[in-house]
Amino acid sequence: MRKIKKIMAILLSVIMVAGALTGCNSKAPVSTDDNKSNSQTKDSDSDKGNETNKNSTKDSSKKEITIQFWNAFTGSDGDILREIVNRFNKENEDGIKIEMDIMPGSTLVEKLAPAITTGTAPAMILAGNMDVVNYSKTGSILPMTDFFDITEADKSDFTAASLESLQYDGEQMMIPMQWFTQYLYYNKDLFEAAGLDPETPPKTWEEVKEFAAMITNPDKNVFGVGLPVSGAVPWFSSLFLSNGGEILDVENKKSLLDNEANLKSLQFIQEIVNAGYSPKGSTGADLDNLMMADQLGMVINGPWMVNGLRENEINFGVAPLPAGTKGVVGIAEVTGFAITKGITEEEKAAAYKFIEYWNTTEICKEWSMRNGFPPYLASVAADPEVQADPIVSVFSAVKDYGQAFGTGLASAAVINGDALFPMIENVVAGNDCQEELKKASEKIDELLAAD
Amino acid sequence: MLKRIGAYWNKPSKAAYLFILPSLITLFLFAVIPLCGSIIIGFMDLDIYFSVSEFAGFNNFIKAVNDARFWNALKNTAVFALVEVPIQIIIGLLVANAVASTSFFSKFSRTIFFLPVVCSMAAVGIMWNILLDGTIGYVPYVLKKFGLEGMTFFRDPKMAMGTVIAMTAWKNFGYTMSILVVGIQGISTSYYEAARIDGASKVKQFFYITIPCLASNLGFCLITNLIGSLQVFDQVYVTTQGGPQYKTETLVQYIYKTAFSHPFNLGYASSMSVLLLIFILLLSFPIYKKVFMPKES
Repeated sequence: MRKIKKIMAILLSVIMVAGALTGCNSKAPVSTDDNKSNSQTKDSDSDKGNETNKNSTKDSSKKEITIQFWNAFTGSDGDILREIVNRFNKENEDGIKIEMDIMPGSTLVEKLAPAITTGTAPAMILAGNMDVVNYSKTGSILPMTDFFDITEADKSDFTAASLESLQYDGEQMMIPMQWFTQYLYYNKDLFEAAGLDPETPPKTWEEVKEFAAMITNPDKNVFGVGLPVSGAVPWFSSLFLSNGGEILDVENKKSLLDNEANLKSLQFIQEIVNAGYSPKGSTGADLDNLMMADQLGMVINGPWMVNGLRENEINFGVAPLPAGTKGVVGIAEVTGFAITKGITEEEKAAAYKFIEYWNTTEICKEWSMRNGFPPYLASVAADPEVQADPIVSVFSAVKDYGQAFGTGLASAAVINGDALFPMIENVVAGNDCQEELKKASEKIDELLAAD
Repeated sequence: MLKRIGAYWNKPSKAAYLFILPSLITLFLFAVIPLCGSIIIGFMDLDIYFSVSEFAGFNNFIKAVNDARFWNALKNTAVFALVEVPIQIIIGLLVANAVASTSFFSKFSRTIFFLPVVCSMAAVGIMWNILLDGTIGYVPYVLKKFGLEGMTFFRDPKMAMGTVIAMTAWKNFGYTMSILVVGIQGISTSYYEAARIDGASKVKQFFYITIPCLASNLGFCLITNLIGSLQVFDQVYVTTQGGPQYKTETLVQYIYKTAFSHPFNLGYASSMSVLLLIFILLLSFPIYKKVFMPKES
């Protein structure tokens, strides 16, 4: 009995020590096979060793290199991205291995800043055009102007707007990965149940309200339209702009938010919520769930929603954004590849190889066709198969009504998160629209003053 | 030489230091150094990228005093602590009194009540978030059947804090219960026998024997729960992120947001941490003194 106890004690000790060591094992953010990286751990050393053996048949003269790649593709589009990254890892003949880490957008922001300061940042990240100035100013990301000189990527194939929105101070700070604006998704079955024509989505915001009233059915917990108060695309900015309400004076760094047109738009939002056509205080994720459960008539979102709807076999349609009193406007966003501070030349070369691979007609076409993202490469846009795809053709409206938000401002993303979204949340909760508009406008001025 | 060293440290009075040494090292590395670091950074103008770093004097502290969001967060933290701690202790005490015996049923019940304690707050938060969701949650669905419509719990500015408090009390009362059960089991049965002979009812026994005998256990629970409540973070982070309308934003949540998302201001965040430390000391020290310091005769 004592012997068993002794053996158990030894076993437990071994497990505890092993557990502690495993806990201490922080995976090195970057690693090269020449062991230059001093944060290299034993585990990744051995992994790499195996990789070296596997790839030695490919090209024994090439050095193995592993780089980390962080992004926020938590949706079903992340699966396709992972597939493409895995394919690149398998097929590239330069011994490059990309280790991808997908996390929610807010987590990425929270993790990236300390990682950059402590020199443990990934070599490559995906970020939005609204982050360009902020990341550039803090030196978190490095210029990529030499990308078109070093690689074989054809600069003339890129839509000029997609490149320009990722520039800062004359430098190309990111290389496009996708671009999009917002679209109206609607549930055809719920349209039909409400006596609406499933092939005729609303063309104006007023129609959205009318249709929402018809679709809403409290007995079945069905809502007409989803108006998220956080964790979503800035749909309200599109509403403001389409009704002629300005938001920012970028040149003079001043808020223009507090105006009559925006007040009317806010009252419009409040009326929809108060009438019970939209669930109160829902986040983007809540509304995604409702949409996937056949309980939401309409919602505004980006192209990434297509996959989820397809997977859940929802009978859905997608249409350009509804028009306001001044036409259709949608906030256009570009996602770009960026390389981070502290990256070595080898890591930069490896990242460039992948970005070059991504920006080939073949991969960009695959991304468009499988995810519905509008093409930003002229060669993809000219492809007959892409042109014939009904969803991609709707999404390509980005070139018709897409409008960038806060270009050149470091606080563009923060204005959305800290001023506009809280304003919408308060209005949806029933607060006075004029008061909220004033408060948000003052907050924007405060943020712009520190820009 | 080695023998002499061995003999020196082998004395019980010296060996004790060796046993607490690992804890002391851990405490020093992960508590004392960061604590000193935050105090120093609190007096600096420093962002997370270290792109600005200069001495700021008391500027950060003055900024906090004039920051409405800081006071709102402090108020929310105080409300949370002052409501959650008593609820948790009262429920813990009542349950502990009911299940303190060594019968199978009591043991089984104790295990059940202790289960939420071993679950991570993140998992518990996600679970309650789904259960209480206004549109897809089961609880609002059942309430609707009873005519209570439109209950959105975490999404309702009026209900959010109450919901976070209730969830935390549900998760943590098992911990308080387990400490109090040990205390109750340690009370000599002769007291109860004497009380019974004198005709004291169960209720009187509870108030005049159980509670006074548990004073130090209750004091320990009060202090640890109070300190934990003043540092409330994870449940808020997982469920409401401080919303709606900052109604559940606690001080630690605000400190975290200030340091690790925009404006990435480590100096300001650290100064608020120091203020929080002062509040915790001011609140917990008198209780500690009353409960644990022997009274001078």
